Amino acid sequence: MQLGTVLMNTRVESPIISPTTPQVKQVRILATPWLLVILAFLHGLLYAIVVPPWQHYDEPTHFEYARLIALWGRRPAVGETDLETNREIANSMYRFKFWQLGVYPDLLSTTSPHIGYDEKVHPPLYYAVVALPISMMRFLPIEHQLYAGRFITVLFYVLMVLCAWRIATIMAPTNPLLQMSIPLLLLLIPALTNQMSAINNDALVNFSITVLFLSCLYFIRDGLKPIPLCLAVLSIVVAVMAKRTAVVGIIPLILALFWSFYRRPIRWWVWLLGITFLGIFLSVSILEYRDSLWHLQPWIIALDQQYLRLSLDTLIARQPTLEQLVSVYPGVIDVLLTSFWGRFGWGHVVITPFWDWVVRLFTIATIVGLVMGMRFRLYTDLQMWQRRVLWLSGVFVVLAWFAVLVRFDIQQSFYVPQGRYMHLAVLPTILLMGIGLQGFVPKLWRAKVLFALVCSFVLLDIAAITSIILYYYI
Amino acid sequence: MIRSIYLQSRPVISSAWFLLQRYSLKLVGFIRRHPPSVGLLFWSGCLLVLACSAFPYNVSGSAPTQRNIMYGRLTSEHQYSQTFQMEAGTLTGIRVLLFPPANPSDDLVTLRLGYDTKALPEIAVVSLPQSALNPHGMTIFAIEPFSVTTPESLITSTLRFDIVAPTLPTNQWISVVAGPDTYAGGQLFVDNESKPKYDLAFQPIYRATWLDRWIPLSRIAQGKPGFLGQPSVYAIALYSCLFFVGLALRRLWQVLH
Repeated sequence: MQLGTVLMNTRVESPIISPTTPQVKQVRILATPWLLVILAFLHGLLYAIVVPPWQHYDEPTHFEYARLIALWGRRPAVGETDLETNREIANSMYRFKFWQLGVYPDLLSTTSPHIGYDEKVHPPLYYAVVALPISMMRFLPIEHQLYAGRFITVLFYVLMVLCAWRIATIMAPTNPLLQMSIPLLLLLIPALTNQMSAINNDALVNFSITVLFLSCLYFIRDGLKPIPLCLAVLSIVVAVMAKRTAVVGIIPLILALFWSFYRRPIRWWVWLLGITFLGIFLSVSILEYRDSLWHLQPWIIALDQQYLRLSLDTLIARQPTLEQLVSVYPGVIDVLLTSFWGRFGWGHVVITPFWDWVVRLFTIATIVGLVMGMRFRLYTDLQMWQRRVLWLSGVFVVLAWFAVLVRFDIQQSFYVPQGRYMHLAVLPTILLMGIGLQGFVPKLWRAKVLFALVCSFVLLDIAAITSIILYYYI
Repeated sequence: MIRSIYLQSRPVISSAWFLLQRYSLKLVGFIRRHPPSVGLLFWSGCLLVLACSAFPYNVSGSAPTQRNIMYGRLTSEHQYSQTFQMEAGTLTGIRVLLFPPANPSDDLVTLRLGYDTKALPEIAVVSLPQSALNPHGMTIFAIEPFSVTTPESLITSTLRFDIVAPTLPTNQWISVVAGPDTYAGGQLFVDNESKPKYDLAFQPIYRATWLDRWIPLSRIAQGKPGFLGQPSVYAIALYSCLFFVGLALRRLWQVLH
C-alpha cells in the first residue's frame, strides 16, 4: 500500500464515521471544525490567563506600542514614550514580581522607566488592531487592557487552527484522520500556543502566513482563481505590514503562482537549470564586485536599512570559516529546535529535558521518513498538485529556518534567535511531520502513528502547562 | 465500640449489598443502553469542578512539627514572638498553643502581626479574652485575609507575630508551649531576645480550595484583575480544555477504527 493510499483513505471504510444517511454525515463533517474551534479557543484562553502578566517575550513594550496608538490615535515614533503609560506598566510589572526581589522601578523619575526593547521599529498593523479593545478599556486598570490584547491574539490563534483544518481537508479530502490530526497537532504545540496567547506581532504574521499557505494550496490545486488571489494578496500585505520576517512568504507565493500557471510535470533537470539561472540572476541583481570584494547593491542596502534591519552588509562581510560554522551552528540549531516546541515566558521557562529529546527524535524521524518516502516512491500515487503542496511546504520550512539562521551573528554570538521566529512555517512543518512519520513506519502502522503522534502532543502540552505552573506558582 | 457501630449498621450494609447485587447489572445495562450525552457529562463535570474550586477552607501552612516543651509563662511583663515565612496564598489567621489558667478572666491576650522590620506598619492586631483560649488545643487568632501580592509584602516575606497580655494581673499567667527548632523559616523571641534553638507552637492558616491540593489555583488567581482573580475560572478552563481534548481524541479513535 502506497503512502498516498493512506492519505486518500475513504470515509466509507470506517463504520463509525460512515453514517447511513447523508444528513447525519453532513452533521458529522461540520462537527469537527466546531470541536476544533472550541478546543483552540479554550486552549489559547488557558495559556493567556495562566501565564502571569508581562511574562512573554517583550510583552511590556509590545503592549506599550498598542496602548500609545490607542491613546494618541497615531503611530508613535521610534524612541517616543509616554511617561504615564511607562509608569503604569512598570508599576504593574513590579506588582506581578517581574523583577527580582528588591529591584524597584523609579516611578517618580521624570524620565520614563525602562520596560524593555523598543518595539516601535515594527510596522504598526498588528498594534492598531490590538489598540481597538485597549482604547475601549483605557480607563480600566492596565492589566485589564493587557488581557484584552491577549484575547485578540487568541482569536488569531483560533482562526489559524481553522485554516489548518481547511488546508488538511483540501490536502487529504477523503482521509478524516489526517483532516483532524493536522489542526490538532498545530493547536497542541505548546510554544506556539504560548506565543499566540501573548501580545506580539508574530501572532498576526503566523496567522497571515497560514492564510497565504491556504491560498497557495488553492492556486496549486485549481489554478489562478480570483478569490484565492485576493486572499493571497490580502494575507501577504497584512503579514508584511505586521512584521518584516513575513517577507519570506513572497518566495513560496511566487512558486505557487508559477505552478498555478504551469500545471504540467516538469523534469528534474529543468528544475536544476531553472534554479541555477535564478540563482545567478539574483546574485547579479543583489551583489556587485568592486575593490576585489563582493558588496550589496545600493537598492538592497536601502531596503535593508528601511525595512528588513538584518544588517545584510555585515552578513556579507562576515564570511565565517567552516570551523566556525561547524563549532557554532549545531548548538544554534538545537536551541532553535527546542524553543520551537517548548520554551515559554521570556525563553527562560523550559520543559523537561525528556520532552526536548522527544521532539528531537520526532524531527529526525520526520526527515528520515520523508527521505525514505521519496526513495521508495511512496508518494507516486499522490496527485501532482498534492506532491507540489508537499514541496511547497518544504520550501516554506527551509526558508523559515534560513531566515532565522541568517539573523545569528557568528562574530557576536551572545544573542541566539529563538524558534518562535519559525512559527510562521508551523503548519507546513506539521504537514511534513504528519506525512513524514507515516513514511518512517511500516505500512500497517501508518494510520496508528498519526494517532500516537497526537496523543504524544497531548502529553507534551500537559507537560508544558505543568512546567509553567510549577515555574511561576510553586 | 467499633463492634457496636458495626452491629448497629449491619442491617443497612446488608440491605445496600442486596440492592447493589440485584440492581447493579440492570444499572450498568441501562447506562450502556442510554449513555449520558456529551453535554450532560460536560456540564455536570463543570459543576463538580466549580464546587471543588469555589468554596475555600482553611489549611495550615508550614509550621514546627514538635510542640512538647512547656516553655514559659506569659505575664503582663513578658512578650513572646515568632518569625515565619509567609507562603503564597491568603493568610487568614494564626493558631497558637497557649494554656489559660484554671480560672481564666476576661483580660485580653493580644497577637500583633507585622513584618520582621520595624519600619513597616503592623498588618493586624487581634485580641481575645483569656476565657476564649482553648485549654485543650490551639487557639485561632483570626485576621482579615492578607495576601502577599500587596507591594509592601515584596520588601520582605518574613512576618513576625508578638503575643502580649498587658492587662493580666501580676499573679496570673498563661502557659506558652514551644518545641525544638524544627521550623527553618523562623525562630522564637522572648522579650525580643532570640532563642534560635526553639520555635513557638504555632501554625499559620491560609485560605485554600479543595483543588488547591493538586493545582495551586488560589496562587494562580492571586492578584489577577476582575473575574480572573477567582480560582474557579482556572479550574473550569483546565477542565474544559482537558474535556475537549478527550473528546477530540475520542473522535480521532473512532476515525482510526
